[in-house]
This record gives sequence, C-alpha cells and structure tokens, in this order.
Amino acid sequence: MPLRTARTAPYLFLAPFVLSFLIFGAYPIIRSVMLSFYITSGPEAQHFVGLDNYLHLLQDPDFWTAVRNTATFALGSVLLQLPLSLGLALLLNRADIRGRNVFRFIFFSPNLMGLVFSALLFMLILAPRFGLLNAALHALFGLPSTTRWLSTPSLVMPALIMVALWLYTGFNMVYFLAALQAVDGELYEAATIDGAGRWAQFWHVTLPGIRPVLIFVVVLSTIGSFQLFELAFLLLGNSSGPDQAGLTIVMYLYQNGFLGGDLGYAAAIGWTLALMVLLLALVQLRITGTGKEAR
Amino acid sequence: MQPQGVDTAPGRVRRWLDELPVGLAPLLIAATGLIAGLYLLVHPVPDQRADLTMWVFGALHADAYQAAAERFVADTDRTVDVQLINYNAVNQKLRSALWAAVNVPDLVEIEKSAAGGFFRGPLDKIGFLDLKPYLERDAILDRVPAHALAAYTDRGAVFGVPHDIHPVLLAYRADIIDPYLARRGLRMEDLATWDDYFRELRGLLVPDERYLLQIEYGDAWAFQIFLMQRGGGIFGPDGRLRMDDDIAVATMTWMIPLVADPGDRKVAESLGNWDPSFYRGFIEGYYIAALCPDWRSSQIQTFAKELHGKLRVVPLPAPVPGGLRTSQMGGTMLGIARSAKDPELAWRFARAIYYGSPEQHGRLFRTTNILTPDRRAWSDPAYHEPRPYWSGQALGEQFIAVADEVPPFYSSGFLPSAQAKLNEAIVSCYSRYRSHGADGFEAYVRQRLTSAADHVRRQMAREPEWDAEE
Repeated sequence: MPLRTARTAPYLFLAPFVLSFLIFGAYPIIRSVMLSFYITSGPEAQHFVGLDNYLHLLQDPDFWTAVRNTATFALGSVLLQLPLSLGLALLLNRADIRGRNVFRFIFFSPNLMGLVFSALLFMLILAPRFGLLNAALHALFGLPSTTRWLSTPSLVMPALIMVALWLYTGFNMVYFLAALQAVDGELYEAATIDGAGRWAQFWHVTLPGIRPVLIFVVVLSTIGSFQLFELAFLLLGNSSGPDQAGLTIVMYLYQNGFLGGDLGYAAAIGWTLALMVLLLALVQLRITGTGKEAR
Repeated sequence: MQPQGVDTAPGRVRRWLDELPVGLAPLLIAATGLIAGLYLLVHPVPDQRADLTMWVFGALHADAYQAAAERFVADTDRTVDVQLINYNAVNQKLRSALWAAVNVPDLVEIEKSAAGGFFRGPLDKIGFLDLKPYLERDAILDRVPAHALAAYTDRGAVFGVPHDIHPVLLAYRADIIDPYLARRGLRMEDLATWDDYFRELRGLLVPDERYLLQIEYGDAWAFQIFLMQRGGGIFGPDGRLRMDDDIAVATMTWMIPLVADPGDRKVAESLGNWDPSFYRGFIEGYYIAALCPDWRSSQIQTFAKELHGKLRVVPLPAPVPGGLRTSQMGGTMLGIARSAKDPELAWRFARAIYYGSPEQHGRLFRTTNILTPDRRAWSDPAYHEPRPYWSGQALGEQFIAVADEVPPFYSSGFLPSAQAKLNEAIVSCYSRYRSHGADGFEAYVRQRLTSAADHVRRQMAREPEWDAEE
C-alpha cells in the first residue's frame, strides 16, 4: 500500500464515526451546556442568565427533594437488590438444583416485560382494598386492606424499590451467574483441602473472583437508579406522587423542560445530575480500588 | 498468458482498486448511493404528505376527526392526516417540533393543564396563531360560553379554541341513595348544599365499609373542583397566582376533615382517581357518589358496566345556600401552529370539526358524553335522549343545565409547578389533621398554602419580561 494511502486510510475509516459523533453526540452536548445558561421559553425565546440556573437549582427545595428521593431509591436498589441478585446467582449456580435453568429464566423474565407493563401490573397489585399485596398482607398478618401504597408519602419509595427489586434482581443475577461460572473451580478445591468452610470460600474465593463484575454491577445499578424516571412516572399516574414522594431528578428535569417549557433550567438539572453520577462513580471506583491494578 | 511489461486495462483497474485507501466495499456503497440519488433526481417520489397534519391524543377524538377529514376531502379536495399520539407524547413531540422547527403539525389538540406551558415567551414567538380574529370574523365567540376560552387566552390573544367545557356534576348510586331518601320524604335534588348532603345521608355512612363521597386526597384533583366551585382558582385572569387566597384556605379547611377526621366527621374516602380501584370502589358501594365531569361519566360507563341503571347525576350541592351548583375539570384545546402552511385551510378544518353541524356534535356526545361548547349544537336530539345507563336520565340536559355557570379556569406556564405544590400542601394538611385534629388547623392551612405559593412565586419571579425585551 503506498505511503500516502497508508496515512489517510485510518482517518477515512474513522471519518464516518467522527462525523456522526460530532453531529449527533458532541453538538447536542455542547448545545445543552450552552442552553443551561439560558431561561428558555417556546421555540425562539431565550434569555441569558449565566450561572443563575445552577445557583437557583442549589436553592430549589424541589431539586433537593428529588435528590433525596433518588438517592434513597439508589441506596435501596444497591443495598437490597445486589445482595439478593448475588444470593440468587449463588443458589442457581449450584449443580444440584433441579430445573435451575427454568428458575434462571423465571427470575430473569420480569425484565422481558418492559417497564410500562410492569408499572401497570403493579398498579393493580398495589391497589388499596382490591390489590393482591394488600389482600395477602391482610390474610397473613391482619393488616388493613386499604393501605394506599402509591398515595401515602411514606410508602411510595418502599413501593418503588419493591417493584424495582422484582424487575432487576433477576437481571443482575445473570451478570453474577456469568461471573461465578468464570471463577476457577480449582480454587474451591484448594480451599476445601485447606479446610476453608463455605463462608470462608465465599469471602476469599468467590468475592475476589467476581470482584470486577461486582464493581461493574454496583456502578451500573447506581447510575441506572439515578436515572429513574419511567417506573416512578407510570406507577404514580404521570405525577411525582403525594407530597412529591416519588419525585426523582430526571422527573424534575422532565417537569421543567417538557411541562414547564424551560429547557434551560432542565439542561442545568441534567448537567448537575451528570456531575453527580460522575462523582459517585469516581468515589465508588476509588473505594473499590478499581483502576489501580491497571497501573 | 499476459506478456510481462504490458500494462493492460484490467491490470490498471486492479492496481487502482488496490490503491484505494478503504478498499472496494465503500466504493460500491458510494456508487450505489450515487446511482440511487441520480435515479431519485430523475424520478422524484411524489410528496404524499397531506395538505394538513393534525395531532390528537384522544382515540375517540381521532375517530371522529377521521370521519370529518374524509368529508373535508370530499368538500374541498384537500387532505387531512389525523395522527393519534399518546397524551404525554403529544406535548413532548410538539415542544421538540416547535423547538427544532421540524415536522410541526398544522393543528394540534392539547390538554388544558399543559396548554399554559406553550404560552410562555414573547407573544409573537408563541408557537400558535392568535385565533381571535378568526373567531370574531366567523361570529363564533357568540356561540361559545366566554369562560370556555379563558384557559387558552393569554395577554389578549386566543391560542386555542375549546373542544369542551367539562361541567362537573355529582354522580351517585341511585339504587342506594334514592330509596333511603324516599323513606325520609326527600330527593337528591332537595340537597342543595354540601352540608345538606352529608347531613341527610349520614345514615348511610358505615366507617371502613361505605362512605358518602369519593374525594382523592393524594392530589389536588378534587380540591380544584371544590376550589373553583367556591369561585377560587390556582391562577387568576391576570395570571396572578391565587392558590393561597382566602377561598383556597376556606376550601382546604373544609375539605380535609371530610377525609382525614379520625372520628365520625370522616364521610369521604378514595381508592385512587385513575386506576381500576376507583371503579371497583364505586361498584362495591365503598363510596356512593363521585365528582363527575362529563368526560368521567363516559369512563364510568365504560369501566363500571355493573352500575348500569344504578347511577344518576345531579348538580353539585353548593358550598353555601344559593352557591354555584357546578364546577369544571379538564379540557382540550385545538391550536393552529404559527408555522402552518395554510392557516386559512387549517382554520376551515378546525371550524368543521369544532363548530360543525349539531348532528356531528351529537354523534360525538353519544360516544364520549362530552358537551361541546357550541351552544347551537345543544338542541341536537343526542343531548336530550334518555340514557338507560344513567337510570333513564337525559344526560346531556343535565350538563347543559349547568353549562353556562361553569367557572372559568385560567392557565399559566407555571401551572404544573403550582399543581405539584398544591398536591404537596394537600398531603401535608391531611397529615397535620390526622395528627393534630382541628386545633390550629386553619392557621396551618394558611401557612402551608402560603409557603407553597411562595415557592411558585419565586419561580415566576425568574421569568424575564419577554415582551418588554422585544
């Protein structure tokens, strides 16, 4: 291949991606940064306010309500969902479980249904007086059957976390299953010979073996939780729920941008969220020491 | 055999191809694109877009307009593409389309509470045409109750024409209430105020089993109905926020004990406003009456078929003797985009579907129970025929009887924010009443509503003086 061709070929190969990225990736990103410095209204009205959107955001109690709700959901998701996923994965990784492939599919299947269907389903399950959950709680523990899961501020977040558990526990289980199957079986044999019990094996063999996947799932779940929107929006009847108990950061962005019409403020919320997620991911990676090995 | 040193044509092509930096495949793709492009240049695909595009979020509306569009084509030889789009999506799509100035429909229907968000900004840059000149020119203003336009009027311009007026009546379980009242020598029509209603029906109240009214206290839906019935509102005609005025305080102080009182003052309950539980509660008699705008009567018919012949509607009991016997909830506007290719044609279609023949409105009423604001249509037989589902009542007449009294609703770009704050205030007031009872409740309500309103006012204060900037 002539020298001239060899030099230009990589650029030509990269050109389609770079061009489409510049048009569909970089430009919207830059535009949204610029937009966050404006109050906008309608198609053409923009008013430059500098950093005022960000300053206003920091003093906006609704934003902090949204941050608090989102963080609660993220904590609930990570602290409840991941141990459950890992537990299920450990259980269904055992060779002596009969029909484990069927169980794997059953636990994963909620994820195939989609958020809209799941939200509608849980609206019925959580309904007061006639819902399945209330009926079960009433039959088993004598609790009142009129509990308004989606209309009582203190119950909204537990309800959302419960639905998310149903939806995503099986999904994360698949990651853990894949990771568990990659752990070298000889390590367990060696550990057994050395007299390690099950707990010691889990702690010293399994966890280190699945650590990269564990970190990946934790980071991914955190990011996903901070992007919570559709599930809460649909379950709470296109609203943020009673007393804003289901208001999430993305929902607040939606309310400002698409209901209120101020895309500038919505862009500021979006960038603040991006910064928060980035910081969280960096903190998580720092705590877990990820990246040090690479160096 | 090819003699060495002789440069044949195939050899040259091969070498040229070999020297191509990205190989043969991209060249073939580019050539295909070029040939296809040239072909399309010579034989362009005819533009199959309709003369008018309309976005609608209600399936029943879409069906009705589709039929109207077919008649419109026959009359004018101009085509209309009626597109049904999900309620939430229509607002988002429209905002994106207006923002990008791409694929903006000529006509679009928007729900009332979302409309105000489109009216922010300088008047001449709002995405909709001012329809006031058209309404005046075609003498339609006289045919429509003035209050029906309030929600779509901003700074004197009318950006949308009303599809409906949505008067609110009280739908009640006639099979339970009427015999009970008859034994006491009364009829529902005799219960003129809410006090009368709750007092005379108290004997039907069974805590945890049967309540006298469905009032949702997780959001501001019912509160807004009561608020407007008392002459209040979230915003005033001048765009001023008034969700914390004396009327709002009085309404909240009256409403919350009805649902929150731990003792026998609790006469109302709710199992939700929008999910199947609402209908199930009504069917099972968990509550025996519900606030019922015209559109909700259609939903009740659809989702509570078991109540066939068991329901009736009456005007709302008034807050005080001689007070308003109705309220208002919900609504849809039809706007014409400022970018419409042919605004006159768009208006002709809008007029055809919104202010067409009485028979056309009558047909829509039979399927949706929605009362048109066009008074001329109210004489159509559809509004006067007895409805077996509603115990033989002429449903249309019931709504028509209160139509002119419907209080005006004023929209604002800050309505979603104000409604969210009002929702919070209602839940807080409910919790406060549950924990502290009536002690200091009115003062708490005032303080809570003021703090909610102040939050919205702070947001409103950030809004630039768009028109002054011009």
